[in-house]
Amino acid sequence: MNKKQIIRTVAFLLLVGVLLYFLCDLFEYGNNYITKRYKTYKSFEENTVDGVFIGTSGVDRYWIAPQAYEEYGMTVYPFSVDALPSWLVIDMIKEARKYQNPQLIMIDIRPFASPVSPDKTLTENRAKRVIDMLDFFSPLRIDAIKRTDEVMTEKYSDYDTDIITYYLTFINSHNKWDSEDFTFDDIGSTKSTHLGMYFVKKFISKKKLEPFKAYTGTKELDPINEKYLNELLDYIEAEGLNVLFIDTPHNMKEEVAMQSNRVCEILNDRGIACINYNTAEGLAACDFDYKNDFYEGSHTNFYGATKFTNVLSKYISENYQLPDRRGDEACEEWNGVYERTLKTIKKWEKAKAKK
Amino acid sequence: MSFTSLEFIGFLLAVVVLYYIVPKKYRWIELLVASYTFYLINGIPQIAFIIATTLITYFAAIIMQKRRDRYKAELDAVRDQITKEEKQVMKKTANSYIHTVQVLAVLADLIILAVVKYLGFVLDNVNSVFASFNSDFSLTLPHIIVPLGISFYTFASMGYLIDIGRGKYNAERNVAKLALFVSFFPTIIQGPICRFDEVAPGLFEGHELKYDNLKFGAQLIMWGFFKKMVIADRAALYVTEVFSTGYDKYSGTALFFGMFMYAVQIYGDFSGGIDIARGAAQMMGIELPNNFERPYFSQSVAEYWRRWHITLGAWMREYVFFPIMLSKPVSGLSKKARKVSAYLAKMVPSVITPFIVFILIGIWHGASWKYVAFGLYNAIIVASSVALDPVFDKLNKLLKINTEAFSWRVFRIIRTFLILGVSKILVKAPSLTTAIDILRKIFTEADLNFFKLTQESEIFSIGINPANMLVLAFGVFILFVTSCFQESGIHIRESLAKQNLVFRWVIYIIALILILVFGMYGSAYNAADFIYKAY
Repeated sequence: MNKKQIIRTVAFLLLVGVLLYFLCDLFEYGNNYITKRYKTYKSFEENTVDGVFIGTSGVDRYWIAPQAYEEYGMTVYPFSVDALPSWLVIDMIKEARKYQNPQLIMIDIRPFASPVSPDKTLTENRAKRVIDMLDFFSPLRIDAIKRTDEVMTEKYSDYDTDIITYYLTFINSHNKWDSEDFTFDDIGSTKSTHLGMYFVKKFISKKKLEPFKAYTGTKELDPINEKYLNELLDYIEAEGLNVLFIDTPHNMKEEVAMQSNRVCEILNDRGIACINYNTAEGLAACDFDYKNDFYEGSHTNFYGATKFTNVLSKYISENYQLPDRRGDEACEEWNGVYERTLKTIKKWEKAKAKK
Repeated sequence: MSFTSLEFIGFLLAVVVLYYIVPKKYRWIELLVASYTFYLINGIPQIAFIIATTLITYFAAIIMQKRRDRYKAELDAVRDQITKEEKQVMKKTANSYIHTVQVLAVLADLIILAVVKYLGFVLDNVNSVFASFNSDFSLTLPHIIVPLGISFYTFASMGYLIDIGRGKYNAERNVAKLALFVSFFPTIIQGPICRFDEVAPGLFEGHELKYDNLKFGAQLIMWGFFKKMVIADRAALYVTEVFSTGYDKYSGTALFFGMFMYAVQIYGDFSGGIDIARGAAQMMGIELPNNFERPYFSQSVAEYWRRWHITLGAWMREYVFFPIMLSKPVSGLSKKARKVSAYLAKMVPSVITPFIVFILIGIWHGASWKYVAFGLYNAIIVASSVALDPVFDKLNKLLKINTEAFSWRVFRIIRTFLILGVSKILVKAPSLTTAIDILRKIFTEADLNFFKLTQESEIFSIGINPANMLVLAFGVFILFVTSCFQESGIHIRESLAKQNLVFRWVIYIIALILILVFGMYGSAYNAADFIYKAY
């Protein structure tokens, strides 16, 4: 082979590398709004986000960041991924701290209270939402992959996924071309237009529910969840982080509720702040209308989220000294978002009423 | 390790890189190590079979070679001292010995293949006979996993033994080199069935690193991936569903379309695998014989078998067809037939021999009555077309058909495809009785609504949705256009190499995207194993 041929071959292989990178971006496993939420967070100026709320869909369906900013000037961002697995919570916190220096880190209890599913594909896919969201070459992504591989190997005797399929996401997600999730609209698009909150039309739908039961009593956690909760707590203590664990109100099986209570018990034993909104007091504080405030048993809709945000943001304002960022030029993009959000909600409501 | 797996890509890259790092004279050793590593990855216990076949073949060939060398040496020593008759006796004695060793060795190789692959079938049929007499007697066989590629390497070994027996070339003295010929990893899964004298020089001679070999080899591999993963595995969605045990809920038209889809699947799968094998070998400068020459462009079944699985057909012709044709029993029969007519004398060997060959081809495909029926069907078609050739000639003249016209050629291609479609149903159906029932439904239960291309159409409710059907149609279109170019003598890779760099790279990137996005792989799909891997 002569020099020209070698250069050509290398150039072509680099082109193939770029193509693979592009395909991984296009065919990431998670929904596009998760990546948008993440990329929006990364785009904020340094030291402008004073709080992050890490967790599952129990975060972004409950915390309306524009509302909290509008009322109190607090910049608390929902840094969440649907069904976030317990072993990846620590990576999410580390990722959040890479770009900002949040004074308050709120952590959703749900990852630690829900037992790891016996369905290995479901568990793997939940982890992939985080893995695919993180930057391709990020060391935390590699860490997330290794952790997931370890957990999957420990939990499932028939686990046989090739680890390379985590790195090259399109290998298991390329069939997305045939699904509704696939759209070219999100290539290059970085912004969540409403500061990370869950913002789709479904968010104004209503499902009538029975009032949630408040369970007392505790149950031992899934061993995997307990292991990674303790690892997280060690990290929090070592780093001296200011954290507040929260269990957002939702319909739970008694077994899960008892595990949630057990999490709070562990936190209390280690002197870490925790609010369980699934207790009788917590539910009373939220004062939900069970006919109108949920779109399904596990999540509030916009109206329920508004109430919850009121309660939690009031709590934060009374117990934590987060700065009022209204008028701060660096937080310009937080201004007017709530107004815009309400306008869009009204539009959706009108359209829904016409149907 | 499937050809279309990440593991194989990694394995191949490692083998190719190491091949060019290792000094030239040891490169064949690297290939041997790679081939046995590949074999071991696919199953450790089965390696005993390939080693047994290799050793039997090796020692038998050496014995034959030594006997031939001794005969030549003895003849040279006494050439001027003995009569012509004595020379003939010497030759006959040597040949008889060589022939005996050849037959025993070929039988030994065949027995290994027969026991592993066919004994179960034979025992099942024996047990059925006993059961039909209400006997409790039954024979059982311990479960044997069919070794990877046993049909392919056994045939390659037998061909080698017969060639040595004929004195076509000298036996390979180095057992490791023969082991490489038998086990060469690109050919082990599904061929091609190689002849020793055709591939050995390429295998044993270390090749220089050439850019064109890497480039063309990689292109051929990519083409193989496209055929297998985008076309064949997608067509399999429909085929698997429609030829399942629930076939009777589908209309005759759906089953007819299934025949077409299976033709697409089997061609994409088999020829795709061969392309990957040949491309892999080419990357190391080794040329393997082609196994497909656009078989669906054939105008007769006989032509089809010269274009489909070419190396199997060539093997059968060389080692079965011509020996039978020229054998004493057949020649004797032909002589007797000459007393009736010259035409019959010509027909007898041309009709008898295909039956033997095609039944063997059928049995080679698998241990089941449906494969025997498959072989018989092809034999009947080929034999009858030979026998009726003069009749068709007269008919064409009578009807003033222009047999050179393009339209006539298209007619013959479609006719041949449909005739072969029946044989494909025989192969694909779960059993012979199911195949017969499927054919009955095709001819009696037409439903033209099948082709109404709406979301609710039956065509889109059988394993494959409209989006995938569109991708499949596009893939088949590309395959068809490429085949038309090749049929007109255009060499695609060489033509592409002459284009400008940017154009070439755009084509390569598009091809790669099509495979990566539309390929049926990953946990999203259960990509079908190569069909012929089981043979």
